[in-house]
Amino acid sequence: MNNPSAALTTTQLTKQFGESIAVNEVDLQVQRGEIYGLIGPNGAGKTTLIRMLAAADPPTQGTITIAGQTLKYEEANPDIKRQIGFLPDDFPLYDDLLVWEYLDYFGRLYYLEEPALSHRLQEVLALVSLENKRDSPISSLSRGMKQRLSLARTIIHNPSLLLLDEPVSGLDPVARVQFRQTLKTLQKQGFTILISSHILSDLEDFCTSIGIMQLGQLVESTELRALYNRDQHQQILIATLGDLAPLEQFLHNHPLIPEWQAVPDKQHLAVRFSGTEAEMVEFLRSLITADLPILDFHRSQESLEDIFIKMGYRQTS
Amino acid sequence: MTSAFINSLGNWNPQLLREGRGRLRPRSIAATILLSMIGQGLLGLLFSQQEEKSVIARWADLANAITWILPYVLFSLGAYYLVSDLNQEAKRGTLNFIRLSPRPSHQILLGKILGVPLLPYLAVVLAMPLHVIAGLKGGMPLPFLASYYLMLIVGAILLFSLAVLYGLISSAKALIMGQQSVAAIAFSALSLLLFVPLYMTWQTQITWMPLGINQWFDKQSDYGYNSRDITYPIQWFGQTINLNPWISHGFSLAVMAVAITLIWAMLMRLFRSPDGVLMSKRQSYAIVACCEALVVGFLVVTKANSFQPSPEEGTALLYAFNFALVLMVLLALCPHRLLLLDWLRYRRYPRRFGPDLVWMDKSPVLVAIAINLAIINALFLPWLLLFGIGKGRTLAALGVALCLCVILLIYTAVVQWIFTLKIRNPYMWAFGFLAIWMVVPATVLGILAVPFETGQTFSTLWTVLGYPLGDFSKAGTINGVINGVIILSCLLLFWVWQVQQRLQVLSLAPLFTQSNVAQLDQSKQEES
Repeated sequence: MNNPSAALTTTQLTKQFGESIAVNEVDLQVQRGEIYGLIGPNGAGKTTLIRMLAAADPPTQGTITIAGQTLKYEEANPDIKRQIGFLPDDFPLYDDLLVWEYLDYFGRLYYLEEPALSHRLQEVLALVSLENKRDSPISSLSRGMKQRLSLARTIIHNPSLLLLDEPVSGLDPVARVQFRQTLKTLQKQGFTILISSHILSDLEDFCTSIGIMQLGQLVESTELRALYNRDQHQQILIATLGDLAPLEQFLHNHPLIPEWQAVPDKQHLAVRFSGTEAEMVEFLRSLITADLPILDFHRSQESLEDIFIKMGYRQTS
Repeated sequence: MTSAFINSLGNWNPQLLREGRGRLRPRSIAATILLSMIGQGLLGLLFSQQEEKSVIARWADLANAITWILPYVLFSLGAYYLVSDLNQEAKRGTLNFIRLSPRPSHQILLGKILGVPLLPYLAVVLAMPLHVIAGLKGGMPLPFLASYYLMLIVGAILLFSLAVLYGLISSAKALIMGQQSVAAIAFSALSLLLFVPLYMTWQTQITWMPLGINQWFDKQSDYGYNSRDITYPIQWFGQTINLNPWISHGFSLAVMAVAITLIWAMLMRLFRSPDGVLMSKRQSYAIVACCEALVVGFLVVTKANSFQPSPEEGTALLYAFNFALVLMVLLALCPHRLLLLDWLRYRRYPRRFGPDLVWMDKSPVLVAIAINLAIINALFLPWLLLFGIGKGRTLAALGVALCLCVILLIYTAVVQWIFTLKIRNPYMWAFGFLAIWMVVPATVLGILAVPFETGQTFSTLWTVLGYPLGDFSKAGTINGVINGVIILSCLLLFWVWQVQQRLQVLSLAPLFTQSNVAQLDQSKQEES
C-alpha cells in the first residue's frame, strides 16, 4: 500500500469514540499534485478522517504517512507538520489582529523568516484577493473574506498537502465562486489537495479523484474519470415531433438502452445509454434511419451528485 | 515594516510577538501608564501626609507598602489574563491551530507566559523606580531589593505556569469552572487569597530572613513586627535553611525550580494531548515524592527548630496534607471511560498487564495510587513513629497509616468506577461523592460533639469515615482504629471487585460501528 510517490497514505486508519467507530479501517492513497474530493453524507466520518490526517486528533489505530514520513501523534512531528496545511470548516480567527499580523504570526509559527516571509505574505494576499485588506482588522472582514484569509493562513508556509474540510459551507454563491477560483489557481501551482464538501458540483469542477465515505468506511476511491466511465453513466435527451410512443417502441428493442423516462415537459425522453461513444454515434444513425421525427438529440453526463446518490442507495440497501 | 529587534523576537518566539501585537495597543499602554501613575501618586500622597514620622520613616513605609502590593497586582492580574486568554482561545478553536504548528510546545507556552500578562508586567516595571528609590531612601537593604525582584520573577513563572495549566484544564475538561470568566476570576481570587500570602510568608520567613529585612521591618514599621522574634531558625530535615542567605536562596530557588519543572511536565503533556489524563503515572510518582519530602522535612522536630508542633498536631497536619495530595493526584490520573475502552480494546502488549497498570496512562488508576501511597508511607510512617502519634504506640501509627491507605484506595476505586460509567460529567459525580463521604458524616458527628476519643465505637466510626485522629492515650482508641481499618478493608475489597466487574463489562461491550448500527436499524424495521 505504501507508495513513495504518494503525498498521503493511510493504512487501516481507525477512530473510535467509545463504543462507536467514526472511521473504520480506511486505506487511502492520494498522489502528489492530485485534487482528491472526499464526499459522503453527514456523519460519514469525513471530518474525523481529515482531523486525523492533520494531526489534530489521534487515531485509535492505523498509520498515516505524509510525503514518505509516518505521522506519530504523540510526537511533535515538526517536519511533517510543515508539509500540512489544514483548513477546518469553522475557520477560527483572531479578531484583535490585523490581516497582515495574523498571516505574519502563522508564517513565523512555521519558521518563515524575513525577507521571505514578507514576500510570501504579499503572494498569498494576492492569491486570495485580499491585498487591499492587508491593514484591516480581522473583525471588519466579511465571512467570505475571513474564509479566504483562513485559506491564506493555510498556505502561507507553502505546504505540500492541503486538507480542506468543507471549505465552502456557509458561503454565499459569489464567495463560493471566488473560493473555487482560488482553489483552481492552487491546483495549477501544483498543491496536493484533499477537500471534503457537500456541494458536489463544486468538486466536480476541479477534482481529479474522488473518495466516497459512508458509515465510517471509504467505500469508493477512484479517479473521477474512471468513476464516470465505469458504469457508462451517460444520459441522452431525445425529443420527437408529436407522439413519443414510436420512439419508446424503438428504444424498447435496443440492447444498449437499459432504461428511460419521460421528462416533465412530455416532449423529451431521458435515456440512459450504456455504450461507448462510437456506439452512441451508431445509435444516433439508427434513430435517423428508423425514420423517427427527431427534433432534438442532447448528450449529457450524469452528475457526480446523481452517481453519489445512486451509490449511496446501493450501500445502504 | 518591523524593526530588526521585533523581527528577531518574532523568529525566536512568534507567540510572544503575537501577544505583544494583540495587547500593546496605544490605548492599552496609555491606560496602564495612567493607572500605574495614579496608583503611585496616591500612595506617595498617603505616606507623605504622616507628619508625625521622619522623612526616612515615610520613605520606608512607602517602600514597605509597594513591597507588598506588587506581588498582589502582578500575580492576580497576570493569572486572570492567562486563564481568560486560554479559555478564549479554546472557545474560538484557535488553540488547535497553535497546537498543529511545528513549533515545540514549550516555545508556545513560554510565549503565552511572557506575552499575555504584558500589561501587568508594564505596571510593575513602572512602579520599580519608585519602589527602589523609596527603599534606598528608607534604608531598605540593597541585597533585599535585588532578591525581591529575583524572587518576584521566579514566583511569577511558577504561578503563571500554574495558571496556564489551570487554563488548559478548565478549557479542555468539563469541570465546574467551565465558564471562561468564572474560571479566570476563580483562579485570580485563589492567587490573591492563597498563593500571594503563601508566597510572601515563605519569602519573609525563609528567603529574606538572613538579609535583615525583618530587622528593617521591625525598626521602621508600625505593622506589628515589633512583637516578633525576628531571628528564629527554620529547619528542614534538621538543617537550618533561613539563617544563611546562600542556603535560604538556594533552598527557595530549588523548591520553586522543582515545582516549575513538574508543572511544565504536565503542561507539555496537556498541551499536546488535551483529551488524555492530566499527568502520567510516572509524573505522579515524582510529584508525590517531592511534595511529601518537602512537607515532612519541615515537620522533623529538633530542638533547634522554631516550628515545634505537638505529635497530635503534626500527625493531623501531615495526614490532611497527604489526603489532599492523593485526592488531587487521583483526579489528575484517573482515566475516563473512552480512555479505558481504548486501553481494553487496543492494548498493544496484552501480556504486560502488570507494567501497564504501573506506567500506562489509559490503564485503571488503582495500582498507581497504591504505589503513590507506598511512596508517601516511606516517609510518613517513619515520621509517625519518630515524631508523631506513634512515639511509643506503634500500633496507633500503623493504624493511622493503614487507614490513610485503605480509605484513599476506596475513594480511588469508587472514582474509577464512576469514570467507567456512561454519564455526562463524571468529574461532577466524583466531586459530589467525595464531598458527601468526606464532609457530611464528619460534620454530623462534630455537631453531636462525639470526638474520636469518646470510646471504641466512635474511634471505629471516625476511622471508617477516614479521620483516625485524636488522643490515642484514651482507652479503646487503638482497638477502635484497628476495627475501623478491618471494616474499611472489607469495603475496599467490595469496591475493587465492582471496578473489576465494570472493566469486564466494558471489555466485552459490542463495538457499534456505524454500519452495524445501520444493520440493526434495518433488522428492527424488517421485524416491525
